Amino acid sequence: MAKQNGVINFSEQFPHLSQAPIVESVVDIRIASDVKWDEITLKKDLQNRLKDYPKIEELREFRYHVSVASGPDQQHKAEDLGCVGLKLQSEDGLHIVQFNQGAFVFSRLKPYQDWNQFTSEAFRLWEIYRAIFRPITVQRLGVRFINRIPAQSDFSTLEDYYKNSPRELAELDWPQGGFLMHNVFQVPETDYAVNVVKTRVPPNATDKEHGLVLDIDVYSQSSFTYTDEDLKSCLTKMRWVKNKVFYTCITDKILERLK
Amino acid sequence: MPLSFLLPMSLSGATSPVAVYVEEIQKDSRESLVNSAIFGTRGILEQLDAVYEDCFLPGWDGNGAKAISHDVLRNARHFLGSLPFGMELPEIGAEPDGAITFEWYRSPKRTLSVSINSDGYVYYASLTGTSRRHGVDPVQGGISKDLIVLINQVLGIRV
Repeated sequence: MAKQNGVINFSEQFPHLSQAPIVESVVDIRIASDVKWDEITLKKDLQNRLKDYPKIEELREFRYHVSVASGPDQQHKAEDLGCVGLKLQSEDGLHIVQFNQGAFVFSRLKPYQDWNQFTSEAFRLWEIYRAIFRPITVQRLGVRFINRIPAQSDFSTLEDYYKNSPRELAELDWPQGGFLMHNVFQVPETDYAVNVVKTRVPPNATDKEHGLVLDIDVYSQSSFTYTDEDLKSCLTKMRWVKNKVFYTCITDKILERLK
Repeated sequence: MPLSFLLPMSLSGATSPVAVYVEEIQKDSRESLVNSAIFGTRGILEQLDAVYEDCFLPGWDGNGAKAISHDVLRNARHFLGSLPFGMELPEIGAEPDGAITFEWYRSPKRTLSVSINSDGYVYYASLTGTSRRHGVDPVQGGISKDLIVLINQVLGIRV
């Protein structure tokens, strides 16, 4: 499990952004466990332990069938495959934790505070998950930061935002109606890989202008017998990788706006 | 970089509106590939459903076989969904112990079998010439790099 640092160089520092565009930060830990899933007991247990996460929702999985007949004889059937997780949300709605079969997911929504606050809360909740499911090994570990960069009225092209932007068809002077770019990179000399997703998002209730997404998900899929120190060390390295990718992807122009 | 070098593309879970938007457009984009004749997994998902429909009751083999459960079906779908695009798809089977199997077969000495049951693990064993490998991965982790390498070896794809 990524004992070596590879290209990770902690002496390299990154600028602080007063207007960091982070809309969600995530720690995702997938595990192997022999503990039998029982959502009823789990729900009661979590309601007792996590009074500061009062909103609780069952995550269920369905299988859909549609018969081939047309008209009124056509039948749609949803088959409930059962509860696969419980999602809990804090009173202020800023923290969300999922206790899933085989996966712990913690999210902090905007406004992002800082790494220490984020990981402290993640580890507080992970300790509860760990106590309940007694993981044998960690199978996948991920740190994901989703950035939504507001469209700037005086910026005219994607090249103003992304250094390596999705290209238009240079030979055709046709306007680009949308894009979705998903790259996966291997971090040299480590077990880490990075998903980098770029796309454009429309305005919504809270964000009145279009935005450009820079979604960075650093992960490892090497199975390892964990200790908390291992996990913390991995998350710290993943954070560095995330920052390195972020500052490699954005232009100096947009960086100045976010400072 | 060799074109056959593939890393899993599954993302860590997230819940914000932007994350949901990214997931939806990725799903739409993936759907168009899933439905395509050449890259698609739609056909194999339908085969999987057909196997499930045949085997969801105990004794489906006329000889006391264990039923294939919802958990097994869900795990099998998850596994198929995590295969890299364009990878040759396996043959599907059901086992009397209630497991679903996927097999990549080239010859009696080049074959890889994956067994998925309700415990959430992917059990695999491969034979490539005289080399035997086996392992266990959790379904939740998505297909592992080790398993992708073994499948490519059996299929004769150099990475």
